[in-house]
Parts: sequence; C-alpha cells; structure tokens
Amino acid sequence: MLLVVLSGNGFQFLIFWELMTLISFAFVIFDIKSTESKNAGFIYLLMTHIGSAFLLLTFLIFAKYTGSFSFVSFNEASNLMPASLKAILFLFILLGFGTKAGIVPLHIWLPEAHPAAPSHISALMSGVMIKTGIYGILRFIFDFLSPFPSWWGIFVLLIGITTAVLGIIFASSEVDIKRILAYSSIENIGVILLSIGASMIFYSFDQKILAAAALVAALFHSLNHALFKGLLFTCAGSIISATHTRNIEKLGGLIKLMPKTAFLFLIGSLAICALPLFNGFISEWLTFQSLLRLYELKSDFIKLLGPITASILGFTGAVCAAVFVKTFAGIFVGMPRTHQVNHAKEVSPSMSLGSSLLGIMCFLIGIFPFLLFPLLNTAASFTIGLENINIQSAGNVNNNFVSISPLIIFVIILLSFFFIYIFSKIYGSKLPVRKEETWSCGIAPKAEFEHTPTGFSQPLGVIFSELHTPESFYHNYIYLPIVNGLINLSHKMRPLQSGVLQIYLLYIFLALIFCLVWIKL
Amino acid sequence: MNHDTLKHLTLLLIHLGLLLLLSPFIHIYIKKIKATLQGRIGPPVLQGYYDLAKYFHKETVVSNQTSWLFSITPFIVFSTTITAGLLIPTFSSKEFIVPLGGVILFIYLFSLGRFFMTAAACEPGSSFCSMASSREIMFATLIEPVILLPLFIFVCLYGTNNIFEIVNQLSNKGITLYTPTYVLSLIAIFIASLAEMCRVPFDNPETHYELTMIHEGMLLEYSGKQLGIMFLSSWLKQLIIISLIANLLFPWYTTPDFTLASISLLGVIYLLKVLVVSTLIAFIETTVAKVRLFRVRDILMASFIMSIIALVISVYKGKGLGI
Repeated sequence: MLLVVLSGNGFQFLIFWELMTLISFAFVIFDIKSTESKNAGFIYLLMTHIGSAFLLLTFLIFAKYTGSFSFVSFNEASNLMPASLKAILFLFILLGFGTKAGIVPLHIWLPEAHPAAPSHISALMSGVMIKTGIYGILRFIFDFLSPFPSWWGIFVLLIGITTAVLGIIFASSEVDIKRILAYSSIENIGVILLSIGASMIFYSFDQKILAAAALVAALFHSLNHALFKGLLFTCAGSIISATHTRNIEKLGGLIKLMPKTAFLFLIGSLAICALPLFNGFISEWLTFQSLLRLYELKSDFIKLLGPITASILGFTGAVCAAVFVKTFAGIFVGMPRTHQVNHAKEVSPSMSLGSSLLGIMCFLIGIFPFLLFPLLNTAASFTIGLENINIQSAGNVNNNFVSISPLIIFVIILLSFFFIYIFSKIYGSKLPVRKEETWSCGIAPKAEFEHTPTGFSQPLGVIFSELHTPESFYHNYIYLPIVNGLINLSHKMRPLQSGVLQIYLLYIFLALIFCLVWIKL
Repeated sequence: MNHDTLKHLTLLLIHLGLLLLLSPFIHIYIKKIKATLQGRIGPPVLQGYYDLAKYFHKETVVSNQTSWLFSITPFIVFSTTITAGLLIPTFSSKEFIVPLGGVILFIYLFSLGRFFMTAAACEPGSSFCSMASSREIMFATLIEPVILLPLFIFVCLYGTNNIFEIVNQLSNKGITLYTPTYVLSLIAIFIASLAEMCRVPFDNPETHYELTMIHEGMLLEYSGKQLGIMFLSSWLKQLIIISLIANLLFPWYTTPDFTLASISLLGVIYLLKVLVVSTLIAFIETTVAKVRLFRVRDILMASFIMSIIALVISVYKGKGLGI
C-alpha cells in the first residue's frame, strides 16, 4: 500500500497496485474452507481486475501521448490531449479507481470482501486501502488531467452523494457487524468524494483557495475515517473473538461483560456519526462548508446543487446515527439474546491497547483539530498548485463566514455537565438510587421483549423502501446483463476453437499477415 | 478581566438564566392556551416548576438491566441542549465572547443528545422504550435534512454560518425582509421544528398511551431526578427552537445597550416574541390531528420541497423566469 503511493511512474504504480490487491486477496480467502470466503475472494478479484483493466488502458493512453511511463511526464500530457479524450480518460479513471474505493454501483465486492478478512485486516482494508483509490483519483485529476471543465466536478459530486446515501441506507438493514462497517466505509468514501467534487468545481472556476479548503476537508475525512473505522473494526474483532458471532441479533448486554470495548465502540460510533467533540464532526463540518460555499460561484445550477447536497449530507449523517445506535444498542445494550453472550470476557489489555490509542486520537483530533491543519494545508495547497498558504485564516476557518471552537464547546459541555450533576446531588431527595427489575406488565422481563436490531431499523426501512434497493438490484440489472452478454459472446466465439491444429495454424498465419499489412499501411 | 468581557459574561448569564427559567413556563403556557381553546381550565401557570421540584424530591429507581450509560444520559442530554442554547440569540443577538459555531453545530449538538437518549432507552429492555427509540431515530433522519436546508438557505444568502450574524443582518433589512424565499424557508423550518420539538402532528407530548408516544416513550424507565433532568432538557430544547424561530421571524430589537432598562425592555420584547410563536403552536396543536407514523415522511417531504422552491427562487430572482 505504501509502495503504491510512493511510486513515481506508471509501471511501478500498476505493479504495486496489483500486489496490494493480491496480498489483500490472500487475506480475504484467509478462511479458505468456507464457501462464503471463496465467493468473496472471487468477486473481489474479479472487480478489482476490471478496475485494473481500465487503469492499464489509462496508463497506456497516457504513455502514447507522452512517450514515457513516468508520472513527471504525465504532468505534461494534458496539454497534448484533445478534450474528448480527456473526458474519456476521466471516466476510465473514475471506473478504475472507483472500483477500489467502492463507489456505488462498483461497490459490490466491498461488503463481501471486507467482512471475510480477519478484523485487523478489515480495518486496514477499510481504513487505508480504499483510500488508495481516492489517492489515484486526486493524483490523476488534479495533477495529470488539469485543467478540466466544471462538469467533471459536478459528476464527482453527484457520484459522491449517491454513494453516501445508498451506502448508509444499505447499512441500515444489515445485522452482520462487519458488513455494517463495510457499508459505512462506502458511505464515507461518498463523503470524501463530495468534498473532492466541490474542490474540483472550485478549481475549474479558478477559486484556488476554496478548492484547497475543500481538499483539506477530503484529506481530513480520509484520515479520520481511517482512525475511527480502524477503531470500530478492532472493537468488532474483540467482540467476535469473545462471542464467536458476527450477527448482532445474537448479541446484547455486552456493556456489562466488556465495558472497555463498549466504551471504545461508543467513541467510534460517535465519531463516525460526525457528532460534535469527535474528529468525524470536524471533517464533515469542513465538507459542509465547502458545499455551502458553492453558492458563491457564478453558475445557477451549482448554486442550487451546493445547499441541496449539503442537506442530503445531513441526511446521511442522521441515517448513520440510526445505524450506529442500532449497532451499539444491539451489541451492548439490553439483555443477552443468546447464551453465547453469557461467557464473553473482556479482551486482554494488549488487544485493547491499539483500539484505545485510536479512540484517544479520535477524541483529541475532535478537540484540537487545528494541530493537524498545517499538515493538511501543505498537502492540499501542493495538489492545487498554490504556494503554501494558510487556508485556516485565508479561506475557511476563521473568517466571517464560518468559525468553530471545538475546545470551547467541549469546555462548555463539560461545565454544564458538572453543573447539573452537582445540582442534582445537592438539591432534592437524598435517597440512594434504587435498582429494580424493569416493569413488563407483570411478567419477568425477557430478552424477547426488547426490539431486535432488525426490528429497530424496520421503521427506517419502511420510510426509505424506495431507496432501499437490495443488492440483487445491482446483480440483476447492472452486472447480470454484462455477464450474460459476455457468456453469449463467448458461446458465439466457440466455433472458432474447433480443436483442429491446422485451423489454429491458419489463425496464426492470418494474424501475421494482418499485422504485416497493418504496419505497411 | 477587562470591561468588555465582563459585559459579555453578564449577557451570557442572563441568556442562560432566561432559558432555564423560562422553559418550564413556556411548556405550561402552550398547555394552558390549548386548554383554553378546548374549553378547559388547564394547569396552573407555575405547574412546570412544581413538577420539576416534585421530580427532584422523589426517589430515583433504575432498572437493574441498565449500566453507566443510562445514568449518564440525562446529564449529557442536558449539557448538549444548553450548549446548543448558547448558539442562538434570545433577547440579544450580540455574540457571547467568541463565535462558538453555527447552524451545523447547533443541529449536531441535538443529534449528540439524541444518540445517547436513543441508545440509553434500549437499556432497560422494555419493549416500549426501544420502540420509541427506534421511531425517534427514524424521525431524526427525516427531520435533519428538512431543517438543515432552509437554514442553509439563510447561510448562503447572508454569507455567514453564525445564527447571531444572520439575525443581525435580517434586522437591518427592515420590513423588506419578508421575501418569498424567506417566507417559504421559515415555514419549512417551522414544520421541521414541530417534529424536532416532538409536537402534534408528529408526536403527542401529552398522550399517556405507551404505543403512541415517541419522545415520552423513551423516558418511561426514568424516574426521580433523572426524569426531572430529562424533562427540563426537552423543555429547554423546545424553548431554544421557539426562540430561534421567533428571532428569525421578528429579528428586530435584539441589540441591547448595556443598561438595566434596555436589557429588561428587550427581555420583555423577547418574551412577547416567544409567546406569539408558542400561541401559534398551541393553535396548530388544537386544530390538527396527529398523523400516522409513516405519513410523517410526506409532511416533511413537502416541507423539504418548499425549501427547494425557496432556494430556486433565491437563485433565479430577477433572471427572467417570471418569479
């Protein structure tokens, strides 16, 4: 993975790209005995190869125009190419890198492959590997293909919002903890693409400072997503190793048996739902700002697009909260729904150390985001091609349009928390808190009385039944026609392969003649 | 500490005091108006304060299924709500000390409280609580985009994220502020706010039938002091949202001089604004019936579309589309 982003020319890039895929493939089929894993591995390999095919094509076209595979020479390519070819390349790049990043509808491998791998590998795949797709998109579009028209940005923005909404809606009906996390990765990729799209629009309108600010949002969210997704996946790993199930329907009540994991999972959930005080909020807030500032551009359509996509981003945030309340409540809260849970034990300190560190970082970045801004500023300004300016003061954080003080907010919340806590201790009754059984209309409470995770998200499913296209939709309407077409084609090709050696020799001969004639021409 | 900071702090304390003291009164005021409209006498005006005192003097009983999450939630809900209260103007639209955050933080602070409330409501293992929590979170997914879009229209039009700043700019416009965009956005905010405040036609705050309540349903297992804090927080939230609407609707008289007379005058004006909006809510509650759970989406979608129309008008204004 590291080698992918370090490579300086096309060949190296592709080789490391494939290597990354293959190594992660090995982890996906880690549990080789189960057919589920094998299927997941197959889909993963297939999808990433389709992606790589588009990438290879892109690289070859680039090489044709520049005569070299080095990324430095790619920089000059954009002046040489006609606009239509650039548009085609843009689509190829989106397809190629988008497959890796998991944009809808190219995401189908992601919810299969990520859960199949061991949890810490899933964390790495979800947190970091899909970001290489984002890196690719950024590198190619901003470096090699710029300048570009504004519809590219709008296109990326629309893909981003679709991916974000559908990703999180899919997650709402899942009960497998790792699939929920995988789908939420798709949502987060959507959020990142949103700010990349905004950045591209600003760039094409030559608003470089705003473009850099939007890019900061994208990079920041990538970093944050790696942190909280890593935290959630490692917590999920602890839960799975303690209870031997990934199905949250079978869990419940773990907050008493695994208090530390519960606390860390809560932090991860709060961060991923972009709630204040945690890192997810800061980056999503920046994304909101860049979307809202689209209103300042001189294009009516983009003016409409900005606020509407921003409010839809608010929608995904709310659905995300619903999903993670369901997940958290399903795993940790209430009564255990199966016996499996009863013998769960807290994981060893060495196992929770890693996730604790991630949790602390999520919180610290949420409170002191400005410590990271210089780093992100440098990266973003470099990509946009600006001198290293201080975006914090120039465009985004401290002017009249927007301002936020996470540290002061934290202090205020803390103060009011202690105020009401002390007030309730001093004022009123001095009786100790009494613990009693929950009243369930006269019978002893049972785990069956509470809502299961499926029941919990059922109203959501009813409300958004139109959006809630099941996975089979993609299989039936997008992939199946392609696959069937390919199979039909290969059936038609079959007579060519008669098995007679002489005819094969004829083919070779004809091909040779064809090539010779072509070269002559 | 210099003189200016002291002034700001005083204003801040008055603001907090107003919110805390006024919220039980406004809650009962709406009840009282409703009772009058329905020909009943209604509770005494101070009932809210009596109730709070009563809850605080009762013993607190919690379910033995619950953990630290359940006991900590009332405090968290209270503190996030009161922090959100600092982001909106009441009698004064002067910024407190430093800008804290804007529209997005305001909405997301409520979400933070809601996250804890819904997760904690599942703890006692009672089916009513978890059902209410599942419905509340479903509402939230509908409310958030619908309340954010009209607020974003204000943000875009006035070029600032800060609610104080928006109100200041609105008040400078005089009577010309009532443009089509403004009216439509405000109606959209109002409809979504009714849902956010858990009021009819979305939720009935006065029902005593477990299956029909949403917000109250989540509080079923709370008792004593914890219940008191939960009620206070939800009344606070109601007052905060009403104040926001009131100040967007009548943005004038919000810049006090630092004199007792000026502050008390503006305090009274603020109270009047809030009472007008509360009366409006009481009227709506008396004339409209609660809708079926899954029809809520249609109402909120209508309000969302209203704000899209507002946005379109604001973009194409004076561009020959005949608007």
